[in-house]
Amino acid sequence: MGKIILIVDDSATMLLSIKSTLEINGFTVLTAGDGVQAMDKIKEGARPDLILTDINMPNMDGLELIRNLRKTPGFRFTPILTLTTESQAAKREEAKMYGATGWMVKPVMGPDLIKVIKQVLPGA
Amino acid sequence: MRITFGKERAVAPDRTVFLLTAVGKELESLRPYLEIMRRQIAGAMEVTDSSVMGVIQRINTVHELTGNQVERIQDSMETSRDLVHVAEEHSGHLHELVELVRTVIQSHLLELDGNIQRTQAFAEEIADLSEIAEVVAEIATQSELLSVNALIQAAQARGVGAAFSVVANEILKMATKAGKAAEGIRDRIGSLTEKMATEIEKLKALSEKGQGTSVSLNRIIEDLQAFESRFNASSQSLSGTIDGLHANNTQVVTNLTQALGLIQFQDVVFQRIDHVDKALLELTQHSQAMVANLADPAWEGALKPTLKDRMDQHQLFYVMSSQRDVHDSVLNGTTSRSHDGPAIELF
Repeated sequence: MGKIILIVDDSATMLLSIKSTLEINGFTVLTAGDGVQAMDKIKEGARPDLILTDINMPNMDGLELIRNLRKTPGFRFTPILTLTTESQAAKREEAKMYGATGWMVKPVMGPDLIKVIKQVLPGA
Repeated sequence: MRITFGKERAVAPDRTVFLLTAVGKELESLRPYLEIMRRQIAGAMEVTDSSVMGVIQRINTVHELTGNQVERIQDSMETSRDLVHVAEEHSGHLHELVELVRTVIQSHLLELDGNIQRTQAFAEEIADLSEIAEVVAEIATQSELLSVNALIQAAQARGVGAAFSVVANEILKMATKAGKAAEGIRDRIGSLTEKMATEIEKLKALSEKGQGTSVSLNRIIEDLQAFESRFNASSQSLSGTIDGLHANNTQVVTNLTQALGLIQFQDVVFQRIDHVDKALLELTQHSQAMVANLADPAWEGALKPTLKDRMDQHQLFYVMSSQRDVHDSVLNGTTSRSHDGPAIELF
């Protein structure tokens, strides 16, 4: 089984497209429609090796999710990448401050996405 | 009463009521007009969304099919490798066995040749004995003649030759026996020589048969070597085909990954359309507020928030620099893109 990646995005289309991108490249994928769903999965015992999250989402946005994850035992050093249309420098800085590993602005070409993931996920 | 529309100008009260009624009616029509536009956009987004989902599912199917194909070929390759291994092993054993049989046969043939040569030499020696028997027979014949001659001489000598006659008689008997013995030896040698010749012929026939078997075994070894060679060539060809398929599959994965990445454009487009949709809703609300105010005699002619206030508020809702660029370029003739960070940044 490949490394496990949790994708968080409120767009079903984006979830499916990113899930497919990762699966055909050998990763095992979990999905969540927003930050709340992502935290629920973690509480239920999911232990992803990497989290890929959108920023602008209902209920709990990506920034809050990053902040909550960093407070969750076992997720202090888990790589968290953002994949978002959001381009405000302030939000990028905020994500960095909360402990995000990297920031990617959509659209990111599939091979570039895989390259970045492999860069931050040793052994992938 | 004086009403102001844009550029300030005086309008008669009756005319004003007429104009206000007309503007009100137009603004009333603006609501369904904008609603139609919003629903058109929503419909287009829905169709796009379902189509993109369909494309992704097709991509997944393509990947699944190619993956299955590669798996099947890999299974086939594994089986072929096993087959090659078993065939090579068996071929090796068979090769060793044939080689062993050939060595044993050649060793026996050498021994057989040695036996033939020795038997031939033995037969020749026996043949030589035949000559000696001839000499013995000749000596016996001559002794016989001499003893007969001596008997005649003894008879002529009468009493003096009596003793000599006895000796001559004995010699005659001995010569007769020796002659018979020599004849017997000659017959036995002749019979033995014939038997030896027959045995030599049999040995020669056996040797020829052995040579033929050795030649057949050589052919079998050559066939086995040719089989091994063809098998190895086929195996290498199959291996090359598999490598090619793997390379093609890697390319398929890369292309599918690229195609799936391009689908992220949909999210970008939807963000912008979503903003336009919200703006159309605002415009509907704004026009409805105007309609309500037009009917209000106490209205002072200004809406709160104004359309400009609403436009300024949009700055807070933009998520993409491209949205801010359009806003800034329309209102200020400038863009803010230069303030964005890199598209991919690792902290």
